[in-house]
Parts: sequence; structure tokens; C-alpha cells
Amino acid sequence: MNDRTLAPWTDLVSLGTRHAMAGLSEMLGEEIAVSSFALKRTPVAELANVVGGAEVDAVGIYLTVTGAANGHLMLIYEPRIAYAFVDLLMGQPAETTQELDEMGRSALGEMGNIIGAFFLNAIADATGLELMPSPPAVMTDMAGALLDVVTAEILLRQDDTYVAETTFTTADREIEGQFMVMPSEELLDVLLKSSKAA
Amino acid sequence: MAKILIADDAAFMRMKSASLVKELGHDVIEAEDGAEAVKVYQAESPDAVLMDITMPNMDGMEALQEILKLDPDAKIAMVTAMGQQAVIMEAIKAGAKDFVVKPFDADRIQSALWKLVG
Amino acid sequence: MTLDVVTNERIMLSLGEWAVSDDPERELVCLGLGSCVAFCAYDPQKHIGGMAHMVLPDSDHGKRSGAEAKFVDLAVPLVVREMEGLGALRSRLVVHLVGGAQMLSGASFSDTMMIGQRNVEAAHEAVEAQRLKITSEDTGGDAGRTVKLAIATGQLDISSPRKKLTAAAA
Repeated sequence: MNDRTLAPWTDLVSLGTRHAMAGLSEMLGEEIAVSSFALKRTPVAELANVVGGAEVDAVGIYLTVTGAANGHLMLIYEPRIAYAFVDLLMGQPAETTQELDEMGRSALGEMGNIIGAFFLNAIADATGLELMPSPPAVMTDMAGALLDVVTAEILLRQDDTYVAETTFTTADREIEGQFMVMPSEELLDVLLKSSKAA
Repeated sequence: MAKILIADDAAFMRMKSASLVKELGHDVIEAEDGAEAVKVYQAESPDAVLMDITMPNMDGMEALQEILKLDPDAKIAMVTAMGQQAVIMEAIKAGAKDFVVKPFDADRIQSALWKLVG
Repeated sequence: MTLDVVTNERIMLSLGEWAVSDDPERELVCLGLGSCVAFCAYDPQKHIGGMAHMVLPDSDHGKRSGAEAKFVDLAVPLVVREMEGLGALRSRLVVHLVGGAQMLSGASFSDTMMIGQRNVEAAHEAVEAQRLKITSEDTGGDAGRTVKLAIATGQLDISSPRKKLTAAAA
């Protein structure tokens, strides 16, 4: 797939990401500014480099996409960023959360749910497709180990994947993290076809 | 005062919704997935249900249909981030009385409950 | 100063990569194994080591394409063959399996969550098919692992910094 055919996909992901950030902003009750957005084709084996290496500690929020086609959504953050989200979500002062308890996990899961659903809602409404997110899983481990969850399944069929990288900031807190959208080739085909038809 | 069943797999959401519903003066019972929601509905006959859609075991759409089979007059509002047109239409057609898109504020929950239980 | 560690040159194996070496200055490393399995083999007499970072159990008789060590059924014989090429003797090989964790649990992920276990099972089969014996195994569970094999000594170093609970966000 060359860059030209990728353009509609970039538009869709960009649209989805804007909606996702709007959902997050509503959920947190805070303005969120997207400071960078990039869609890249990356070898699956190098995904860990995107998040700072396979061995760094990370918190991952993972959802699968089902419906018109399949794909993966993963939000991946340094632990201190994930803890900052928990504080925002629970309405706690900054740096209250120092580790993830069940309620913290649940709060992050719900954040993944909102972000994933808003992302898919935008794409679904733009294309007329029905795309459903799974319930979220929240995991803590080395980034490489977390990414195995998606890489194994993607590598079964392809060696590259598309990663949408988004960094964003809130008014008083700098939050950097990856919102990774990894469509299957099948999902990509379906999306490109339906956006062409639209 | 009414008895409201909150069905959501996320403990965080149950906590948030329950505190809003309690502030409005209602009793709250909870279920963690769709299958449990059906069971709890049968056992406790709540006055209304706030039902998430994306849940493990049985999702909210299926639970909606199961509960309506048990009680065709069941008052159920879907509460979900899945605000896709197709999903909203499907839920209303299946018999949901309201559709609240997450994230919601207190007013939206109040108006949903007003619609369901007056 | 821990001289041996500092001077060792690390060969980092990413997903689907493999390496063999007889250079005593070297160390073969797989970082952050989740459901992936590292096949580690060592000839203690010749000081030859090999490692593969394996991602999936089965190439479907080589029909599935991609990096050579991506599939367990291809990676194990490949590493053994290359070690023999360096002069290792199959009957002397000390074999370790590391990884194959189940990173996800919960009803929604029933398909993906089995990959770790299937990788471990496939690795057992592949090792047996090569008429090798497994000397040690640190597999399964729900925590990621990093594994290092020092070529000079054959010493295997496994770390699992976060033995943790994987929970669906419910």
C-alpha cells in the first residue's frame, strides 16, 4: 500500500483521534490539546521502539475492534502518566496515585472505553460501518510484553502495521502517551472501500 | 424513591453512576455484566435499569432483550460510549426507553431517570 | 566493577529474530517477552549459544511468511542447525524455554489469550522433534520476562520485574 491510497485512512484516523480526545476531554472535564499526530507504517517487530523500548515499564489499555472488521486499539503510557490519569479521573490531587489498585485499573479501563468508543463512533458514522470495541483490559508490565498481545495476532498475517501516534497535553499537566491504532489489513480494506464509496 | 439497577462492567462507572443516582434520592443495586443484570432484574424487580452496552459475558444489547422477554414493561436506558447512529437505532428499536451517551453529566442522568420512573 | 557484564556485547533479539554465537564477549538477549517464547540453547563444551525470539506456534508447514524465527516450528530447527554449523554437538545442547505468559484474561479475549500457552506447547514439540531435552523452563504465568544468555559461561539470567496481576478493567 502506498502513501496515496493511505490518505483516506489517515483522514479517518485523524478524525477518529480528534473525537477520541474530545471524549477524553469531556470525561476529565479539562481542555485537551493534541500536540502531535502522526500515522506511520511500522514493522511490528519495532513497535516497542515507539514506546521507548521493550523493557521499559508501561501501563497498557487494550481493546479489540469487532463488527465490520477486526483491529486493535492500545493506549500505552509510562506508569507516572497512567497514575496522573487516575488522579484526574478520580478527582484527586496530583501524585495521589502511586500504584494501580482495582479502582484505578477500572478508571483507566473506562478511559480506554471512552477513547476507543469515540474513535470508532466517528469512523463508523463517517463510513456507515458498525465497529464495536471490546471491554478494555488494563495491564502493567514491560512494554514489550504488553505489546505481545497485539503483535502476535498481527504478525500471523503481516509484518508491518499502522500506528497512529498521538501526544496531548491538559491545561495544567503535561501528558504524553501513545494512542496506537492497529487495524488489520482487512479493516483497512473495508474502511478504504467504504470511504471511497462515500 | 425508586430502585435503580446499574449494570456496568467498570467498577469506576458503577461508583460514579451510583453516587449520582443516590443523590437524586433513589436506591441502587448493581450488576457487573449483562448476564448478572438479567439475574438481578429477575430477583429484585428494579423500577428501572441503566445499562452499559460493552460488557463481557453478555453485552448490554442482549441483556436488554432478555430482560424485555421477562418483563415487556421493563424501563431500560442504555448508558454507553457507543454513540454510533446504528447502535442507537438498534437499541431504541429493541425497546430501550432512552440512550445516554457517556461521558454524561448529572443532568443527563436525572433526565433519563425522570423519563423512566417519573 | 562487574567486568563480565560491562564488557559483554549484547545482541538484542527483536520479535522473530534469532542469533547464534561462539564469541565469549557476547550475550544473547530477549527483552520484554510476553506471550513470546525464547528458545535458548548452549553447548557447554564448545561455548556456543543460540537464541530465538519466537512469536507464534505454527508456520503451517512454512506457508506463512515473515522473519525466520517468527514461528516456533521453524525457529527451533533453524537455531539448532546454525549452532551445529559453528561446531556445536546436538547431544550436548542444554535447552531452556522462557516466556509464554498469558498477558490477558477475561471472556472477551479468549482467542488471543491462548497464544502464550500454544507457543510453549509448540516449543515442547519442536524440541522433541529435534531429539533434544529441555533442561530448564520458566514459562506461563501472567508476567513478562527478560532473558539473557552469556556465551562465555552459558549462564542464563531471567528477570521478571513485575510479577503482576492482569485484570480485565472490570
